[in-house]
Amino acid sequence: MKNIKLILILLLVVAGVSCSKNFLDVKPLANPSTDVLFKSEAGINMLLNATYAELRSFNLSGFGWFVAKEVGSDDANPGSNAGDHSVARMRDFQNFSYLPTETDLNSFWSGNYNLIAKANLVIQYAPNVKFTDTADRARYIGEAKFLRALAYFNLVRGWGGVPLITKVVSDPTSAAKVIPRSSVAEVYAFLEKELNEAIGVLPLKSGYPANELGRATKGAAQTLLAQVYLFQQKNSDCLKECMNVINSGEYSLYPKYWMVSNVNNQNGAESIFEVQFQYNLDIANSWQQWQGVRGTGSGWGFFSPSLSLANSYEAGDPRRDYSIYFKGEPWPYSGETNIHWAAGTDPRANEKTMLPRPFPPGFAGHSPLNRVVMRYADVLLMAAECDNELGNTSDALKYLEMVRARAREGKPVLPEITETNMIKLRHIIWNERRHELADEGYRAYDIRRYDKVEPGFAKKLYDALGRTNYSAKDALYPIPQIEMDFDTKGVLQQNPGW
Amino acid sequence: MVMKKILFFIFLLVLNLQLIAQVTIQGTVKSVTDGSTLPGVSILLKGTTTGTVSDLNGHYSITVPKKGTLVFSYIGFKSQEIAIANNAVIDVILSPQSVGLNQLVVIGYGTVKKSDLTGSVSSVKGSAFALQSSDNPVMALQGRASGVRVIGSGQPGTSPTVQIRGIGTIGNSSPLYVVDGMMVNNILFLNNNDIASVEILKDASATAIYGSRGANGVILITTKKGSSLKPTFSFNYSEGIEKPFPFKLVTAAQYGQLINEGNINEGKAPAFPNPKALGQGTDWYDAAVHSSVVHDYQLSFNQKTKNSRYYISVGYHGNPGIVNKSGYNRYTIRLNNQYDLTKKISIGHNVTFVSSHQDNMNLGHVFGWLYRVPPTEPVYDQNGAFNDVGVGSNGNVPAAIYYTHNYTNRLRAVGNAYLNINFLKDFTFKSSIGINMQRAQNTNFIPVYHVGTGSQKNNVNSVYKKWSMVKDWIWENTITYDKTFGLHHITFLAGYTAQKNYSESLIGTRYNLFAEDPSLWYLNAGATDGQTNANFASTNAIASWLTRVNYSYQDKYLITVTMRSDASSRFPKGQRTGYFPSAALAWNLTNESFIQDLKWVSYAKIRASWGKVGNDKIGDFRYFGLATTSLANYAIFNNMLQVGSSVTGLVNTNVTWETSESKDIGFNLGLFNNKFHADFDYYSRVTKGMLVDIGVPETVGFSATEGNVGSVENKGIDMKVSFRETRGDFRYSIGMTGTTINNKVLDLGTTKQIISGWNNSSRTTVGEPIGYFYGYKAIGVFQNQAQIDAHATQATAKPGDLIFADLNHDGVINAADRTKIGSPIPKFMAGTNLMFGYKSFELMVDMYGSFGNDILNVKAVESYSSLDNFTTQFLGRWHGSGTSNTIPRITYGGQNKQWSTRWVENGSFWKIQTVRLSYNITSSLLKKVKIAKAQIYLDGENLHYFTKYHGSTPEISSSSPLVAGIDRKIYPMVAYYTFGAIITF
Repeated sequence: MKNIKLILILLLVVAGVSCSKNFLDVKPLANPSTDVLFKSEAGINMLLNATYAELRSFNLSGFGWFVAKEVGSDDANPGSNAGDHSVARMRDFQNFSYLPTETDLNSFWSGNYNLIAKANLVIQYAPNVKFTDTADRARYIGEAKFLRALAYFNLVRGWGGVPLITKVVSDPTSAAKVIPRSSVAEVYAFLEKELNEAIGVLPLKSGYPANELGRATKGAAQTLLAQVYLFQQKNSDCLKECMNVINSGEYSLYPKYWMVSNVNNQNGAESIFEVQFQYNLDIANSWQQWQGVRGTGSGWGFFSPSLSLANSYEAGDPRRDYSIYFKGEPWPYSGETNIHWAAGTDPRANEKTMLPRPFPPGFAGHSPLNRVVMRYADVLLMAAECDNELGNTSDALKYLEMVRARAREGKPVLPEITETNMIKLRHIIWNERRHELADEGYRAYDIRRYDKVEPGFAKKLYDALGRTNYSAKDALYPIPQIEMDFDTKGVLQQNPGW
Repeated sequence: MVMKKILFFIFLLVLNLQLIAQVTIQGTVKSVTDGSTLPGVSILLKGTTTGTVSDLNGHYSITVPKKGTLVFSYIGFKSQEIAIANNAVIDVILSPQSVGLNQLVVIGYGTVKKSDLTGSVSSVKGSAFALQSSDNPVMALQGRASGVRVIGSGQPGTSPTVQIRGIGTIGNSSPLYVVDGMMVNNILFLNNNDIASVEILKDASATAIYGSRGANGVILITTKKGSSLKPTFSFNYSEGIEKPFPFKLVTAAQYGQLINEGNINEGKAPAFPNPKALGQGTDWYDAAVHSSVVHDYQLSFNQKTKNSRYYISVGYHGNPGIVNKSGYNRYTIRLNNQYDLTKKISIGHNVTFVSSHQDNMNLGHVFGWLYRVPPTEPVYDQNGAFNDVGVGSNGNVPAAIYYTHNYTNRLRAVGNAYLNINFLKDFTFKSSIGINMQRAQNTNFIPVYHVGTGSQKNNVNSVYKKWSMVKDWIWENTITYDKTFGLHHITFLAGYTAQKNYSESLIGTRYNLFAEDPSLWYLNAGATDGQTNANFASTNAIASWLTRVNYSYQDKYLITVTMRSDASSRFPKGQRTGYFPSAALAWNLTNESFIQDLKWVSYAKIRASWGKVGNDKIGDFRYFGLATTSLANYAIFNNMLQVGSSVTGLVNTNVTWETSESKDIGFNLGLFNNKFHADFDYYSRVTKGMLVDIGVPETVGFSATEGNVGSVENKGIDMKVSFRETRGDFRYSIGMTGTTINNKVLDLGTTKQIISGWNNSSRTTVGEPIGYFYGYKAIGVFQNQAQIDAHATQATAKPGDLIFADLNHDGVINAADRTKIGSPIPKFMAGTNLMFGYKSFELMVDMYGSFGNDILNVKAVESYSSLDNFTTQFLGRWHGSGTSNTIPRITYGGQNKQWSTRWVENGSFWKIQTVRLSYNITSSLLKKVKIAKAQIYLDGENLHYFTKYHGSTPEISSSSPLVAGIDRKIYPMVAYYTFGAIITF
């Protein structure tokens, strides 16, 4: 009896020991790992798609974007109503009385680096993966380079020279090392190189199959490169790229202005690059849901067009009503009256985000309205501006007139410009940009560009608005405090005055 | 010759007659504590197997020879031996065993005599839990077990925050729960009345046997086993009222006045032309929070026979909560039986089955809104429908509650089955298989509703269903060898355990349900458009070896050594195994001659221990590079989704345990025949390899990865003193527990600081405690412009704003002038336990307090619109020169709402934890209805908090030490007033 017991015990013990070998080798359940992502063609495609998806993020299409690209300018107010915590913070930002701890700038900075990191994964791992068609690999890398360039262009215009990160480091201690800032010239040189490479491999817009509508195209890379040149005042290079886009025949202006940002007219002939959204209750439209009119289920009412913008249009300019939805007007496109605006909000809303009623369920948070990043009208205006600066006045007036003609809609308004004085024409074109591209994410950075062309421009503009806190330091955003705090060795230099 | 035989025979007969000359003794056995009769007392004729057992009335009758001794014994009481002499009636009064040194204390994987204990262990008897009103037994540990910090929550069916001897990590710092040897993560399945005793293992010598899970301390729970020689039924009945504490918000008139001031301060027009006319307004807190009735019933059966022990119980606990749809009710069945198959082999099981229903209240929609809704708005409009209050999407809280239908039903089985074999005289082999199986089904139905025309609405109805299951098993095998050789006593334990945990969830949602009746809250009733589903799972496994040696010499010198090795699937190959040793020495001075000379010292022991324990509470697949699977990474082209995926973050392929190295030195003292007891420990534990996000700059673009680079230290004192005495019919005891905590972060690797909390309120940095509050020091309020001008430059400050101290003396108030402004970790906790008893009455008064901890009053600072309500504290705001030097003028944003000492309050409190009056009914009526014992009691819990804190409760629980002490969305503690009875028959 005792022997049997002892044997039983030994058996149990042995059983225990023998099952321990594979017992502890446990794989993640329901979750794929980087084995798939980094080492297969399908994986690289997924990484690329995730990079596009990043553009939809709150930081890159929501608050971070509004604040960095519009609220600081004369075109937009924080919106919403006064008691809102976020509004108080954005007011400080608008009045140039904010600190490097400003949350929304921090979001925009992080958001762009998130985009860069995702693009880096594609560029870093694709070369080592076997592709059935090597042209696909080149195209994926080109798309990733375009998206990465979008991010760095936002960063360099906002902050000046920034750390140039082109690889994702996997070792934790190396990742924690602070990378020093590159100079503005280095970042622009990088952008020019990247975009030229992308232009070489990306197809024309018409070269994509229909189911890939929305991907980065040759035209998009050329337009972005044109913008990059324009910001450096390299007018002839800019003009060259603009002419490449114009002469490609791929793009044309929409017949009516209301179509430039409308849910029924997306990715059309004038569109060069848009951030794509979809009506999906599990995908948030971080761009649209924060705008609209508070209290109507169309959005939270942030980022309202300013009174300054409303008053700056020329008499009878139809674009004013297509860009700004005024309180008391019937609802755009569907005409309902008696709209109840929430208490304490500005009496203006960004009409480019409005959707016709009735809304399908959950619409404001999940609408399919895309955010237009670049369109053909911008190319025409850039061409006009460069032609003017280079002395090609008649070409400048030609492109300017193309934009105004479309805006005019055949009415006796927006007279054709005949001004030939370069400085005066320059200002006319700058105002045209303001009216044509209102609230599309151009104004704040454009003012900085104008300030380089005509030093003192920004100060005069903000003083006239009563925002007298504007000073030299506000030509650049401060490097986020959280980055400065992390850098204990003084590798990063803060921007002057901050 | 025949004569001799006959004489011899007669002699034998006579002898036998003498032997058979027996006498029947009878009598009654009573207890000295309350004079109650004791059923089931064993009465044995010493040296024989002749015996009997006292009946329900404590009465016994036994036929024994005239000469002899009767031995009376009963569990928990000191045995008595009484000579039979010539008595026909022997009544006996038994005394309870004093805080017995021969009492067995449960430790990991075994038991040990209290006198042999070398580790630091607190014991709390089952009676403390049985009469407690909260559904979680751990609440009873507050103030009764030193070294343990318990922060309760008023929400039924939730686990309180428990920390033993400080906070060992910024990750999961909750202790390990072991119920009858089965390791579990929470004890929500336990019925308070089933608990026999709880031991809290605090130092490494006691916890190291649990290796990689012992770092945060171990709470060992032993449930009741069959012990009564007579089959005994026990019925526990209690009904109570739970009452919320009042929370004062301003009236509508006061609100109007404050909003007008706020608007003017923000450069806008006043909102109310005549605030006084607004009158009292709506008390929103009152509208949603109310008292309710709590029920607890239990019936148990307890018997110990020659070959088996039975303990079977069924119980019900129901608590509707102080807010509608926040309730919890639970049915439990417990079967703790043991069967002796032979003299050496026994099998048994301790298992419980639980069925519970929990209403899932959205804390944010209720306790995150009640203090914000304007009192100028009524709950119902003139048509009796819910009123649109115009603030937020859940502003009308009763409406939000009304339209919520979110509940979870759970079925759970927890327990183990074991086999015990005693062999070779001194060896015991035990093998046990434990399981924790749970199936939870969560249903969340949201109807179509519109509260007025505002934003509190839902346009599309939906049903969400989540089925989740947990399947954990643990197999433990141990061999124990216990032997005394002369003056040496040795116990040796060796064991092997394997454990596997598995959980899986399946989720489905549908929209546009056909109709909204509860019979249709199923996925098939919804449209197929927009349906979603999800399915995910997780698993981990651990294999361990353990061993322990207890050696004592002469019962004076004791040494314990333990070692455990754990290999876990959570860590990569090569880093899987951790070794956790410990050693402890103790000197039992009681038996030393110089102590024995001191008559007033009845017990004295000093001990010291050292050990290493681990913490493995991190996610299951931390070292894998996981890909994301969410839609957030899918691209959209041509209005169609295309699969996209990226990495979830940087990955550290070297991740491993957190290790805690712990030292303890202490003494246990008994004086005046153990009437006075003192237990005192000084503890110091350092956690190394704490998992900290290795800070990376934002430019890296992916979330930080974790590394074992951090270190935290906890030091302090953990003590308990008590004095008890019985004088005739009167008895009393006085006790006190005290714990101090000194928590300090020693290392965070390359991370300079961890920012956490709400709106970045909290920091964790080297040299400070975990999760302290960070902000400006407010040193007063600017009364006029001249003061502003005289002070360091505080941009945009106006009269009425807070004055922030210029800590770096640079003449400018900016981010550099922020500092540590408070800590949520208390400096010390204390509990007092008083008991007075007179005959059948007993009064118990227990108090508990926490001192030196701060609370961040987020409720007061949170406001997203110029419409939010105010607490009465705001009535003291600045509204003109000289009106306040502490509370600034009303503003909706700006510097007054920045984190500063204005929002950090002293969270120290002292509460009347329990007041209990009980009476043992001893009337002869009981005997007529065959009831052996009946006790009735009145009980009050959490009756009052003495505190300066302005929030609704100073007990703020939190899910993580990084967000501790933040009063936001807290379900407040409640007071209980209970009436109950315990009837044994």
